[in-house]
Amino acid sequence: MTEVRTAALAAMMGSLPVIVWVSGMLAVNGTPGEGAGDIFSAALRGLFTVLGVIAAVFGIWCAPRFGWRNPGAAQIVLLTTPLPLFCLAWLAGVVPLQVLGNGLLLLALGSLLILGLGKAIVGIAPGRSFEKIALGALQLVLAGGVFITRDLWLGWIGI
Amino acid sequence: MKVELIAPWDGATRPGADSEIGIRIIARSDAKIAFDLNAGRTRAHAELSIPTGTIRTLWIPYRPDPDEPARLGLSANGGTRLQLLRRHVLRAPVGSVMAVAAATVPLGSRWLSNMPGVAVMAVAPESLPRTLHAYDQVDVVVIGVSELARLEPRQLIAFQANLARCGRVVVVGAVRRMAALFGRTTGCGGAFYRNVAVGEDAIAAAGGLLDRSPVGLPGLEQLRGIAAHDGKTPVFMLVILYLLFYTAAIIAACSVSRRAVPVLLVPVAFLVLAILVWYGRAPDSSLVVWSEGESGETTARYAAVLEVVGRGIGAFHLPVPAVAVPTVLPAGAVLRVTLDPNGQEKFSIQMGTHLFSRSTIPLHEASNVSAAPVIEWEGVRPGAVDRLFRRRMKDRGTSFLLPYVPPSLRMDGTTTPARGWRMVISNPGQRGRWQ
Repeated sequence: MTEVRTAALAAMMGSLPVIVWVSGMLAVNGTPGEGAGDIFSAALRGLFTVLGVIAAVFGIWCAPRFGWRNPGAAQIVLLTTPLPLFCLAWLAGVVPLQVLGNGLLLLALGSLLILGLGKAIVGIAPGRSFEKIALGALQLVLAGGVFITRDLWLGWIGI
Repeated sequence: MKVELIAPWDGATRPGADSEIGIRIIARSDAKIAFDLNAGRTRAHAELSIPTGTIRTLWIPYRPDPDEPARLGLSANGGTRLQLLRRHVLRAPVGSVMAVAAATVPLGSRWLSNMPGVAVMAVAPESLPRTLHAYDQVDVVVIGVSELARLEPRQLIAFQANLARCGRVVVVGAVRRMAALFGRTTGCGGAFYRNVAVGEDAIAAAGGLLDRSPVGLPGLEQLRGIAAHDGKTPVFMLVILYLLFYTAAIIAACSVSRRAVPVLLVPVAFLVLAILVWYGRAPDSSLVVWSEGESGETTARYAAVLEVVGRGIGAFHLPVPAVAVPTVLPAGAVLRVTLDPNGQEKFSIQMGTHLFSRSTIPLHEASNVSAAPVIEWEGVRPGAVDRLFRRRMKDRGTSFLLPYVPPSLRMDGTTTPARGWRMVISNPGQRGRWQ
């Protein structure tokens, strides 16, 4: 289950800068009152963007290596790793649970779609070298697309 | 059921100053009434049961929004309706507002033109306020002794509270006993109270009072500076520790396990932990009161600030005395109004809190009237209190400071600790009562 560990570590590596930043801001501001909204809003936006990019890269990486079950479990691990941070944002009154649920659902569906896309390319690719180039290009396009269009889909989620 | 909205001062209002709204409910049959008042930054909610044939009037302090009428949403016996209170707004360039409720004062005579920037309004005694808050609408009140006699007990209490809070008042034709009574309950050494024999002298006396102002009480920031800290670990420290342990736990889980379940369990366990620790937690709250009164006085003006710091998703509820009801509430806070068996309103602040929320609610400046201050002595003053005291002493002169919380703000039976200080200012010979 290397993919599960990889997913968890990737999610943690993505979350770590956000955790460090949130901790730093809290240490500087103490009990920030209304300012907590700004801190956790920014943290949530950053976290969802990072997760989206990781899900795109990771889904394509998994496609030629594993079947459906293990990458699926890995995607779940990827999305559940930042749950405590999401929970803190909810406890701080920044987002309602429904918004967080929408966001996680969108990421989960997106991850499955990306995995399927990767598997489709693996299925139709005429050779290993073409497959590698096509998957690499797709990784770049998807990760870039997720990052560039973040305002659009984050707005749709309501963050 | 009939509902009437009543405004003090014959409906005139000054932007930015507190006022009151009277809600008179005439029940023709048994009624269960709920109402929501939305006016400026005041949100009030009440639920009442009114038996057939009774008339109930509630007086609720609020801060009018000059551009929006006060909105009263009423639900009674299943039906709902909306009622608006529009008021005549006194706009700039009005500098000061003088309310005259004295038939013996000849309004419109030539000495009024000697006071530029003063808006003079003649008001009926019935329209004098029932709460202290509405006295913020005017700078000076001129009242005749016969009008004073026509005031309802409630109006008289508010009138005396205004005197005690150093409100500028001129009484026309008070007999010696009445003048002595008022003289005893005035704040600021009686510097803002005048008793004149005839109406012709009243406006000049009022103008004289307008030339000076009582020294302001400490502001919001100064009071926050002396707010009590109870030594609890700040919530942000706990959250930082939580994040630190979580990071360590997830890295450890990834290092020791290759299976999905243990790696999944760590975030879920920390999620549950966060909910257990920070959901349904009552906030930390504290009340700080600063009183100032002159030596020998039985009254002391006070300013108070309530600070509510969220330690998770929770709820906060605190009764507040009617004279100190805040009119500017944080978003989401509601003033709950109930009636006691005597038909008097009881107020409480209700609000939801969450992790890291911090609300500072300034209570309305009022005064405490007591036979004598309760003297306690702790011996040591915190540095912030001492600094504020020394700063105030520069303005107020020789004084001493006692730990003191007015009885109405002691918050007994609540989880909100109240701390306060009373500054007793030397006033040699002005009143002569202690010589």
